[in-house]
Amino acid sequence: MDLAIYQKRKRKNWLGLSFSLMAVLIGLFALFWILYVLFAKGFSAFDLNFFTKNTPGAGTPGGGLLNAIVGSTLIVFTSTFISTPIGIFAGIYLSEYGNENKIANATRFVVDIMLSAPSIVVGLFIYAIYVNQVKHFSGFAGTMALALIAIPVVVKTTDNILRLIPNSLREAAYALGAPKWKVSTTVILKAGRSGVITGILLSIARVSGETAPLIFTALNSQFFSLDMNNPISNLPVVIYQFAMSAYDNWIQLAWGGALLITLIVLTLNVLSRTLLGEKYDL
Amino acid sequence: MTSNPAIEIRNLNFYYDTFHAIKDVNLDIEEKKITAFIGPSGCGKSTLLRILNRMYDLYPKQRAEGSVQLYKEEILDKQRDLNLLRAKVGMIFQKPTPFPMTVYDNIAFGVRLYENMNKSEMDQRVEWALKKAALWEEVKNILNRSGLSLSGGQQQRLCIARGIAVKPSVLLFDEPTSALDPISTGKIEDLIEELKKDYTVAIVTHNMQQAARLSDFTAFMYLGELIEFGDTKKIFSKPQKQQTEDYITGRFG
Amino acid sequence: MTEHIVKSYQEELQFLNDSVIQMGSLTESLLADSMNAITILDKEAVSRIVQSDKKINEYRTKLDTQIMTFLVKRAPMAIDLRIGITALRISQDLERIGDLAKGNAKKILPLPQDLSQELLKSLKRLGSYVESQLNKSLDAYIKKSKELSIEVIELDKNVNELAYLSIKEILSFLSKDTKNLEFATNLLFVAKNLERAGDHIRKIAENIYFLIESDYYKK
Repeated sequence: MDLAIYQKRKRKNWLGLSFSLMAVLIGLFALFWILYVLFAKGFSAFDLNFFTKNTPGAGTPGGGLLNAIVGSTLIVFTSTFISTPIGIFAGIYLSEYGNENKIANATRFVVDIMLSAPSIVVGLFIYAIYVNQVKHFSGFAGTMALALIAIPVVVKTTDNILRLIPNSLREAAYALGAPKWKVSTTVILKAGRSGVITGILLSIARVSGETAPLIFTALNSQFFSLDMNNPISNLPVVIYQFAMSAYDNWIQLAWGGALLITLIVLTLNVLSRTLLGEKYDL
Repeated sequence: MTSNPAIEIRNLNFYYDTFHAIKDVNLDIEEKKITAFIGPSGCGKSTLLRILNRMYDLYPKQRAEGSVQLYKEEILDKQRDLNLLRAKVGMIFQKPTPFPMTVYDNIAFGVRLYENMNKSEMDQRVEWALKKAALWEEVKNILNRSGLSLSGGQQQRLCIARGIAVKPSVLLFDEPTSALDPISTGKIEDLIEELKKDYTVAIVTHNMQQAARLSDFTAFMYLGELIEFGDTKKIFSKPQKQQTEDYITGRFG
Repeated sequence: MTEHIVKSYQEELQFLNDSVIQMGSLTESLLADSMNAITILDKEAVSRIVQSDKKINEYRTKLDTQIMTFLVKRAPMAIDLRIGITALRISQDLERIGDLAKGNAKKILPLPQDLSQELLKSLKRLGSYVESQLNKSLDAYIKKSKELSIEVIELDKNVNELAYLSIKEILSFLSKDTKNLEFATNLLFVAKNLERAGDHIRKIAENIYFLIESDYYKK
């Protein structure tokens, strides 16, 4: 064994490891810095009022983010309600029926484009075809915009997960005389369910924090409302409005809102990662 | 060829795109007997088996020509309902593939496709299938557990129970014990021998001893052709073709 | 015949084959030595003959172990299985022939040196015939010849006839003078043993036929 060559390799190895470690540390450092700032500035906003009072008017002291939280929940929930079934069925179609299909290949291409489409463009799109036609902003418009962003996420993850499932499972189901749709929905979908659920969680995490589309669709409201047919309060737009204002309590609430959204997105990501970590039902 | 054929194969040719994989095969699969298919890799034995339940239909660019009759009805007919065919001709694969459901649902899945049963009838059918597959004692208290929680040998027996539950007339086994340890293999061989009382069995295996142990008839294939077919005892003690003897003794060349 | 894919398998088969042939030629020598000693009443040769037989017995034990290992290791099929099984049987028959030849040699020890040549002549004829049968059967094994093995099987009746003639002569010799009783019975045993050796040789030939045809010879 040539010691010189070995030593040289050892040094290269050490160099490579060090660079990788440095990159990790930089990334982690940035992450922790952000979290630290968020917590430092936003945690103090968390009190009973934060969760029970509505957004205060300009100059009004105190207040909370109740209406924004409720509004965001409504919008995200309804958009998920729409995007999930569409996304799953589209994903099933692509994976099970679209293997040597020109339509399927085109669909996958479009999905990839939509995944990287700037969310502001989506917002403007809904503004143009809906908000401008009915001449008012609404929670529904916000839902539509968010759904358009969520669907490609669900489609792509579902398609990818289902395609990973080995053909042997499909053949086993066909061998019993099961028709194709039954195989796809009962057996294959079940086999990939943790992956699919992960995709759904990721789509929720993605749309929870989207601000630009909501500016053009749901806008905002100062009041508590459950009416989706009109502008409705929501966290991202509130943060946007309050963060750069002159009022201290508004700025404080903005930080609190930012922290809240971050915590929700973090939790969803961690959840999806633990689900993925579970034994795959493949 | 044989006295009571369940499946009659005549002038069978099969193509993977332009590749001629099975060349003019003629043979009968005797009812309620075990017929083994042996031969080196790529000889076409698995391909032939998968024709019997039209599994190749799932893939484009694969086609069969000739005649394959199940109890005098043509299998290769384009009009033939594939799902009904597959309910009559079951297949068990090399890798155990339990569905991601409970043990109970695994068995019930196939039955529910074609039969309407109330809960107690289904319970009976599930128990019957598991008993026939020599698995009942081991799973009777864990019917609600996922099929994936069983051991490899148990999973394979679960797949066999699943196949039996729909009461087919023919059972096809594609190297059923290749992925299992010797003890599981022994249990499943025992099981297959029992099954021939009620079902016609065709088994593809690359384990010569297994073919010699289990089967009544053996077909030796090479490069897509049927080289020799006959009584298992004769094939393994004094085959008629030199090629057959060369293969079973390991002289293949 | 094509060779095995696994080289060591082919070599083991070859080794088994050669070992049987080797044991056969040891037995042939022993039989020849024994007949020679009987014909010229060479009592010095007897202890050497006993040693030779011992060697054959040891050889057989070794060969048997090899065959068992072969069967376990290779789980042979068709012709390979028959090669193993017939090797087992032939080695057993060869060992018996060796025992009989040794026994015959020991039988000359109490005989008087001036024994009638006439008596020994018929035994010599019988012995030669048995030797030729053994030689032919080993030839049949080496060549794997169906025809030669059938010959040996068919000609076994000649051995029985020659033995019968020998026994008749010995009995008439005995009737002439009862003083001859002791060594006459020895000679009777020699004749009988040679007939039994002939039977074992026939069995060897039947096994060779089975090896080739996978079936037993029927007339």
